[in-house]
Amino acid sequence: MYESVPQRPLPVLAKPSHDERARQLFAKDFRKYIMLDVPPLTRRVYEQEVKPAVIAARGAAPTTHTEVRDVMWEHGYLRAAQGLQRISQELMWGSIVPSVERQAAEINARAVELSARGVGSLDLDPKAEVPEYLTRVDIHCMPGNYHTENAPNDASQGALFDRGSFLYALGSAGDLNDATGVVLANKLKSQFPALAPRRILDLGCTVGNNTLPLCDVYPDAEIHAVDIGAPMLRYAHARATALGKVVHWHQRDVRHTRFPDGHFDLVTSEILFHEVEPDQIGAVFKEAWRVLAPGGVMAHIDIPNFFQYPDPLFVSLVDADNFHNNEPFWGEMHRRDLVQLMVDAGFPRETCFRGVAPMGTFPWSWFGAVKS
Amino acid sequence: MNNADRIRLTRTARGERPQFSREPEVDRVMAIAMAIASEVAALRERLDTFETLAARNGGVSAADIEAFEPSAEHEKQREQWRHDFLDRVLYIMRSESDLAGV
Repeated sequence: MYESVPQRPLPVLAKPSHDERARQLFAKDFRKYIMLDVPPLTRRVYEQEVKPAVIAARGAAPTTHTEVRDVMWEHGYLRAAQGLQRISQELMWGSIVPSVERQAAEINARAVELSARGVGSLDLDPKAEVPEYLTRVDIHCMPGNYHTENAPNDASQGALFDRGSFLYALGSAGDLNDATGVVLANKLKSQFPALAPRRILDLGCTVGNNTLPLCDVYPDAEIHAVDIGAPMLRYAHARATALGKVVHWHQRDVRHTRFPDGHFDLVTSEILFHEVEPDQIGAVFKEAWRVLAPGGVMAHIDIPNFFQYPDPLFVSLVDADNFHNNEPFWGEMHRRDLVQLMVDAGFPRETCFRGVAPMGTFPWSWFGAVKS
Repeated sequence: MNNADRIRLTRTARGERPQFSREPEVDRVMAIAMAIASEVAALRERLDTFETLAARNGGVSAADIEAFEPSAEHEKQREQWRHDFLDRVLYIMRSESDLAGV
């Protein structure tokens, strides 16, 4: 799954210089090393040193991921490994920021020009309020988060996210950075073969990279996508236009999209919910239920449910983003009863699903329901 | 466009930076070491590109390199490069300073 495809150059994507590109690819490979090469080494330290010491001292091995995390944290090796993981994330953004900054004025001008072509539409709301839960920290350490306006009519923050999310995926995202959206679109096709939506709503779309595969799978549908970050949406509209894809982009809170009741036949999201405050997940499900027509489908794809694997060391390593990568809700989504939350939102229990949408061996989680 | 008009992006992510080592100084040193590694990797790649092109195009000798004298303008560019290089390698100092008192 980690084949390294270069990202396809698009008019709004920053073009890195020779050395910027080298630094970006170094950051990607540094992260890859930390994520793939180091965990087996960490496991050896645990199995051969830490676990036996705990057994000797307490008479039993740790059983939960929090116990494992605590004993491993005391050991210098995990401190170093996770400190390096944090640095890899900082170097990744740090390798992209100067390249976007250098070209920000051109990117913003190109976005305006592309938007003006009138392919799809862009509906920004200057009064939109960023939910408080998105303002506490910059999610996954992206400086400026999704909503910072670097300049009037800013799209450059979108260029930062497009490049960063591509590098973060270690080459698995495909040249259009859309692999997650492709997985969702194909899963929908196979699970709901008769579904022919007239209108689709995609929630938390960011730069729309994962929205666009819906255009290919449902060419007859009118597609709307919402996000709270204006720079993401300006970039998304320009990017989609450059790719000839028709989507209507709206600056909205996913909890209050302001579309009419029963307006959509399909509501989707790609890797949104692990960035929603867990207590607000139910509100998003309720909003999806409200805007769906009877018989309409809600389907979401998100980070794998690694958090319930029967391997406490593995879980403790996966959980690290929660503490060290400004992902305050990471993992908590999977610890909630999503099916119950969907039922509480109005979906019939027998229509609720929660499973896996695999990408090669990578087990994306997928969940949703059908409105009766 | 002058410097004041230049668009600036945010450099440091909002949110407390965790402490990994028992001594915060070690975290700083580790960050600086890896930033240097990133620079070495970029430099190595640049050299690799150069060597590939030199071999393809008929070459630059070690003596050419020894004999090279940069112009005053070129030297000024190099000075600026060294400043920007240090800015990257010592990014952790800026991050901590950005977050001071936040």
